[in-house]
Order: sequence, then structure tokens, then C-alpha cells
Amino acid sequence: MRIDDVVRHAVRPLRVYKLRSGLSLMGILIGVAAVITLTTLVRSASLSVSGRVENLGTNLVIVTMNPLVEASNMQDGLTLRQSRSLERLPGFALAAPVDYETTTAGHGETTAPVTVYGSSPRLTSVLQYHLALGRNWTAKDVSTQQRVVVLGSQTSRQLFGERNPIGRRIALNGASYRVVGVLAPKGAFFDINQDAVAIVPITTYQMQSGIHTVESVYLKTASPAANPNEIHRLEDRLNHDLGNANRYTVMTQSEMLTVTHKISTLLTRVLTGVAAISVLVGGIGMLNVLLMSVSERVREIGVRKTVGARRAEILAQFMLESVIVAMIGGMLGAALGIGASVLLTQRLHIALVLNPWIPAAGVVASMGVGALCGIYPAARAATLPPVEALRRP
Amino acid sequence: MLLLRDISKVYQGRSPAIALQGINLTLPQGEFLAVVGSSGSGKSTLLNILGLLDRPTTGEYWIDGTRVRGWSDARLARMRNETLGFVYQSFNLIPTLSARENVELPLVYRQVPPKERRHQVDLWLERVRLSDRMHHYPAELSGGQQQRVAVARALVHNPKVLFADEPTANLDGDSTDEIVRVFDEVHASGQTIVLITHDRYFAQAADRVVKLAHGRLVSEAVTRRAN
Ligand SMILES: Nc1ncnc2c1ncn2[C@@H]1O[C@H](COP(=O)(O)OP(=O)(O)O)[C@@H](O)[C@H]1O
Ligand SMILES: [Mg+2]
Repeated sequence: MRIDDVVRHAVRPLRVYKLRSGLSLMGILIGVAAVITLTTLVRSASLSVSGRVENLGTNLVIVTMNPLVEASNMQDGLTLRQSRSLERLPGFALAAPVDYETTTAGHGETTAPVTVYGSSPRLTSVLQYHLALGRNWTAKDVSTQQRVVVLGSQTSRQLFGERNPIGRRIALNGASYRVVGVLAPKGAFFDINQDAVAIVPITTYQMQSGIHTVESVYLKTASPAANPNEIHRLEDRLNHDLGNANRYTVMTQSEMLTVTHKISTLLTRVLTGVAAISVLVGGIGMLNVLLMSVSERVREIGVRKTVGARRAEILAQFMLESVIVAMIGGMLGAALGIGASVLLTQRLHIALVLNPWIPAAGVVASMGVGALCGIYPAARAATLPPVEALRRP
Repeated sequence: MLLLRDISKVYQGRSPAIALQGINLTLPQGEFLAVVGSSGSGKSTLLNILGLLDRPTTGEYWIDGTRVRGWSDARLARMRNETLGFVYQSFNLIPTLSARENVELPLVYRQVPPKERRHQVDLWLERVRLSDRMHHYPAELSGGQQQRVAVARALVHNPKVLFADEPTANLDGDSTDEIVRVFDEVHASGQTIVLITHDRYFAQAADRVVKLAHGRLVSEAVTRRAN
């Protein structure tokens, strides 16, 4: 049998028995789509996160308070004074205490949901915001507990529309603040809307909330990257101030990157395993349909053998049929997976990072599964004696 | 052309069945042989052995001067492909192939390139008067038309022997006449034929009629026609 005839005869049943072919490729389609979507999503997310972390600078160190364990006699947290004094540790250049909460901002009858940050003037630059209008408030505003605020672009638009908000007043938690600046838009990141923010002096924030310890401190080292000695000194100081090493967590940029990487590697492994199993299950479904197809086509096999088909030719035809079904399933699955990845990364506001080898590998793996699942049914078809095959009704 | 010497066939199973016993038969080239006999008498078994689809339990089978013995499945397949043609009671067309694709099947398994097979296929579709139906699928054809496609497929590769197992048993009168006509025509041009039939009128078209009963040849008659 010529190769073009083998292909033609292998493809024909797929067109005639559309439903059966569709059923047999469904499992593989779903499996491949799942592999591509999950791995692409994890990869895109982890690259977005690590890109963001990298942007914060290699010299960033973050201290966060751990949640208080009930009935423990741990200290509440760092005072403002203690957090500031971290800046004077050898090797450190900057320390910005940061507290935050989500609440509602108001202007007249208009309200907008907002995340309020209490910090020092340096927070805007640490978080890489740029001012679009007005100015940042100053260290003096902090020391004198001024009710001044820098608004995120979205919050400004929601409260003031296209009007200039500089010098106008907004309400936060029942107190009135004067707007001194507006930030340039930054866009969303995952679920976090980075433009619905209000940044106020931490002293004002603490006076308002009544809590006088800080949740976290953003530090920057003087050298391009934090070295172990500097971290050690920082931990010594924190142990002294807090009286307990379990009260806080210190993260350097490289640690954050390592954690991100570890999580994404682990997720990728787990998800790839799950997806591989689903492709295999899809393959078993296909095996079933192929076996059904062989027993339905016993007479056809008998006819082919009667007119001179050899075992290898029957085997080739049925194998090719299953490889093609699986390949179509793999290609449709790849298309679906890419589509789903595009859609989901858009919804999550992260950049799509699509490795073109993944869909390609998905299609090739499907063909492998197709070949594997085709062997047994095709061998059964090929070894049927022609008289047996023709006697069937 | 074909020679059977003391052929027997026993089907092994829970109760072994002797399907053929002591069959001696010679089929000269160009002869049209009809095999008759009641149901279960061993006609299909005989045809399967003659057609290299099944192996006898004992006895010798010579085809074209060569003894068939210990041939591999592949060699039997090639022999069927090159020298034998088959027509069955139930048409046995491949439902996923069009009429012309069914007809060209023996040529496909003989690796004949598409251009070269076209001429033969068209010729035979014309001889069975189905040129206008060649792109139809079996399900779109009547029983008579399907059987004509099957006859064209059995003859498209100029086989040395045409085997037919009750080809008109499922057909109405007009369709039967059409098949008989084609058999007459090819026989007239020298085709060797082995036909199993219950149809006396069809059997009369043969040169010779043999009768099987309980796996044995019980009578032989030369028809009027052969004289
Ligand atoms: N594969 C088989 N296994 C067992 N017995 C069989 C088989 N094929 C045919 N037979 C038996 O052999 C005998 C002859 O069958 P067959 O050649 O089909 O008869 P006919 O074609 O004349 O009706 C019957 O008794 C039948 O039951
Ligand atoms: Mg029979």
C-alpha cells in the first residue's frame, strides 16, 4: 500500500465517524489544554512576581511582623522610634515603616474604596510610584502629624473626576485630609489595584488608628545587595527590641526571589504531574473507543485482507488513524490551552509568558499517547484471520 | 488451473465438525464452475480453501501448477491480491470508501499508482454500469448496485479466478439478471469462475455444476450450455 493511500484510508473514518473520533480525542484535548494553561499560568505569574520583586531593587530588605500567637507573651511590635533607628544600623541607608488598611475615601457625596498606607516620604520611591501632580508630603509633615495625603490616580479620578484635587480635602476614617499630590497610574497586578491608594504620614495614621506599633519596615542597604553581616546585625537588633526571634520575618530580595522560584517550581511539578495523568486518562478513553472501533470494523478488516492487505498494512492504517486522532486532539488542546492562558493572564493583569515548546511538546506527547494506545487495537485488527472477520454479521 | 486432491477440513472446537471430506476437483482455465448443495454442506468452506482464505486439514491443493503448502500469511495475501477475486452474498463493501475507492482496493494493495489504476477502475465501473454512481458511498446505493460495485472490485485486477459465494441470494430479480449478465460476459471473454449458488437459473450459466452434501462431492453434471 502506498503511503498516500495509507493516509487517505486512515483519515477517512475520522470524517465519517465524527462523533466517535470526537469522543476519542476529547480526553487528550482536555489533558493538553490543562497542561498548557496551568504551566503557562504558573510561569507567567512567577515571572511577573519576580520581575516586580527585582524592580524593587537588589538592596531591598523587608521586615514584617508575624501574626501574634494568642496567649503568648510576645511584645506587640516595633515602635516608630525603634523602626526608625534601624536606618542607623551600619550598612543600612533607609528605613520606611509601613502600616496599611483598606477603607473608604470620601469627598462630599462621592466615595471610593482605597488602601491607606501610613509611612515615611520615602515609600513612594521604594514602591516606585511617580508623582503626576503636586508634591509628596515631607518629613516635617510626619513629625508634626499633618493630615496630608497623596492619592493614587484611580482614587483621584473617582473622587474628583477630571478636576485638579490639589489643595482639596478628602475624608478617611472620619478625619479630613488635604490632598498634596497625585500619583501616576501604575495599573493592576494580579488582584491588586495599585492605583486605588492613599499615602499618609505614619504618625497621622497611628494617631488615627490608635495602634502605635508598625506592621512592617522597608529597608535599603547602602551596598547594591544585602550581605549576611548586615542581616545578622539587623536580626540582633530586632531580637533585642522585640525580645523574641519568632515575632518577625526578615526577607531580602534574593530570598523573595528564591521563594517565588521555589513555589513556582513546585507548582509546575505538581501541575505537570496532574496534567500528565489527565493526558494518560485521556489516552485510556481513546484506547476504549479504538477497541470499540476495531470490533465494529471486523468486517472491513476481513474485506481488506481478502483483497490482499498484509498484516503490516492493517497495522499501519489503524495505528496512523489513532495517531492522527490524538494529534488533532493535541492540536485542539494546544489551541484551547493558549486561548485560556491569554484570557486568564489578562484577567490577572500579568504579562503572558508563553514558551512555544510547551504546546509543541503537548502535540508531540499526544501523538505518542495515540501511538501507544493504537498499538493494541491495531494489533488485534491486524491478526484477525480473514475468514473469521468475514463470518461476523 | 486449480487442483484439489483428497482435501478434508475439520473444524476443531468443543465438538469437532467435519466440513469437507475426500474432495477431488480439477478446474481447467476458463471454466465456469457452479457449486450447489444444501445449507451447511461445506460450500463456503470449499470456496475459502480454493480462495486461499483458509487452510485444508489434509490433502493437496495445486494452484497454477504450484502446490500450496506452508505458505506464510503474507504470501497467501499477495497471491489473493494478484490472482484471485471475491464476491460475497452480503456485498462486503467498505462503508467509508466511495464506490470507485472500493473498486480500486485490490490495486491499492498492489501499490498501483493512482494514475494507472484510474483507467482500470473506470473501465470496470462502466462494465457494471455504475459510472454515474462512482462517487456514492455504499449506504447511498441499492443492494443491486452495491453488488455490482463488489463484482467490479473482484475483477478490476484481472484475477485468474473469480470466486462468488451466493452473490445473488440477497438480490431481487432485476439485480440478479444484471449480475448474471456480467458473469456471462466475463466468462465469454475467458474468465475462470467458481460460483456458489442456490439459483438454478444462475447455475445453468455455468459449464459444470458440482453438488456437495455433508462435506462430500455427490454429483457432477455438465450443463447443456457447455456442449
Ligand atoms: N469456523 C467454523 N467452526 C466450526 N464449524 C464451522 C465453521 N465454519 C463452518 N463450520 C461448519 O462446517 C459446515 C460447513 O459450513 P459451510 O462451509 O459454511 O456450509 P455452506 O456454505 O454450504 O452453508 C457446517 O456444518 C458449519 O456449521
Ligand atoms: Mg455458505
